[in-house]
Amino acid sequence: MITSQKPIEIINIITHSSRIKTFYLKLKDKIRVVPGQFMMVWIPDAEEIPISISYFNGLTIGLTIAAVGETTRKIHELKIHDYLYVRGPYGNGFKIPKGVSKIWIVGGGYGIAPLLLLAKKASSMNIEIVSFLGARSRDELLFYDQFKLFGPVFVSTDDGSEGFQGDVATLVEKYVDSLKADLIYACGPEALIVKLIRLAYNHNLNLQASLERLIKCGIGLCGSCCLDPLGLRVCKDGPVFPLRILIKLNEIGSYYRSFSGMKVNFK
Amino acid sequence: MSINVSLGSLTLRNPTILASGVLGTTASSLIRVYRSGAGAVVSKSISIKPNEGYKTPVIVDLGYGYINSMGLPNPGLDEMIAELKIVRDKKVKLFGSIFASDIDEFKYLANKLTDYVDALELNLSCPTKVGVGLEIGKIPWMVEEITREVCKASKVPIIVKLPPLVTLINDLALAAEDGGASAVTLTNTAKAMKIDIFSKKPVLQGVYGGLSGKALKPLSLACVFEAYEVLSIPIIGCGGIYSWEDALEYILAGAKAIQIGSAIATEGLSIFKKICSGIKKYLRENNINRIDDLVGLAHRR
Repeated sequence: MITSQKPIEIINIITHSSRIKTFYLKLKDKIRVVPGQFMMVWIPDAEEIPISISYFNGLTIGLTIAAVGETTRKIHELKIHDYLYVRGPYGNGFKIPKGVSKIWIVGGGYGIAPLLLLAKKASSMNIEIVSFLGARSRDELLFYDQFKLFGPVFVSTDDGSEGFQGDVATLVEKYVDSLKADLIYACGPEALIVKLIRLAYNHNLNLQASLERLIKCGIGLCGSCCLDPLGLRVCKDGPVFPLRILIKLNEIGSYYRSFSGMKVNFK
Repeated sequence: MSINVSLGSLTLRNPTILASGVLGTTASSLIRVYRSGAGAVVSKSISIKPNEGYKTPVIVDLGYGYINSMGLPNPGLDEMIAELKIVRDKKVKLFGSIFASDIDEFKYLANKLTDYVDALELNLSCPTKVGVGLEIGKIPWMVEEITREVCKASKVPIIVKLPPLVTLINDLALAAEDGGASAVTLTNTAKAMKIDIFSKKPVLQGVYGGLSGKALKPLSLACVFEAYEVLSIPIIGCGGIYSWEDALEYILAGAKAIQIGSAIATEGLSIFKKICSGIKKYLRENNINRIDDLVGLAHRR
């Protein structure tokens, strides 16, 4: 665990699309990472943001970052041998219970990133994996070729440029009766998570989903990422929650809280 | 064995209190902390208007403490009242923390909040926000005047939270007492900073932050010890309490209750129960009936 903001050298950068890059960092000390955990990532003169880990091999970590705001755009300007400041990993990741032999992995957009690390781990445990990946378009589809190494992959795109045209939750629903799995793992936009919670609940399937809220401190103190009505913290109690918790979180799909703590409704 | 404590007219089921600024914005979070064993919970500091606080990074983990510069984020008075109502409906012992830039604002907040809390804690000591914190809390006559006016505007007891300025603490604590405070919280965080030697810039976006956690404990403890010698009103100790032993040190220095914040990051929410059971065990083993019999014992020479 890296506890305070520490500059780490970028040893490789892979550009996935005009919006998404993966930065590989060489750590000096070994850390332990559970798929689904995140790092707090910072560069001077920008904000510190939570980024999930998409690659890990003991001394190298991969952070997949979409350029969606001022800070992430600044990070995208960095080159190999530049430095990213990181601390972490933080939070509770995906759990693989004993006896699980077949899983589905469902990812939307850059939510696919932490699921790659999960797929790698599950595959090493000889677990059968079926993946469902959704993106805006073929260009933005993350890690398609890598997921193919682990088993069948079903793809959806909003514009129909690859696979099924529509959202990935609808794609999952088409197969829900014909494919059986012990557990579904999910990460992606909140609308996707809401649909999967409903789907899992209605079909009596088990689910673990990674949630996103405003994370400021990352260590469970400031309370900016607390979820109603249980007061659970995304950064410390999550970001991955099991179905029995997810069904109780009535703010999911309904609202989130802004920098001041004010409720903001999802459109 | 009962470990309830009284702070003037307030009675708490145990002496552990959630410190302001930590997990205190939403009702569900405050309720969760109370249910995990706190004797009372203090809300995040409330202002009239919503405040976004500083941009991240807002915290540096030093290993021996934290420096935070949240910048008093809160959704403002109206939104916070909605949350506090939910908390009170669950029979939670609740203190509302408030901050403002002048006496009229303080009075307004106190007046609006008085029906929704068991006590108000005046944050006169935030080290990161210019014009609303430390600038007020280091000047005794201002502390006294604000306390007096807020007491008039409020039906509930007023607690004044002061900065860890050991050399000034007696004057400040007496000013709060003279102004009519029912208790003082000693102390808030200490003004501090961290510089990144690679970029040669401060790490925290607010430049300064407040030092909390283990590094703060000896400072706050000395403030409690000093102030106990001159005060008649009860003291709530706060700063780097991680264990029942830490809590006991504060009690022996003169605190009747203690607040917990930073330790939650590493010890989790079970810390409230752990500290209570540690204190109970200590009382039992030493044949002491109540916490009050321990308060200030370290002053015997």
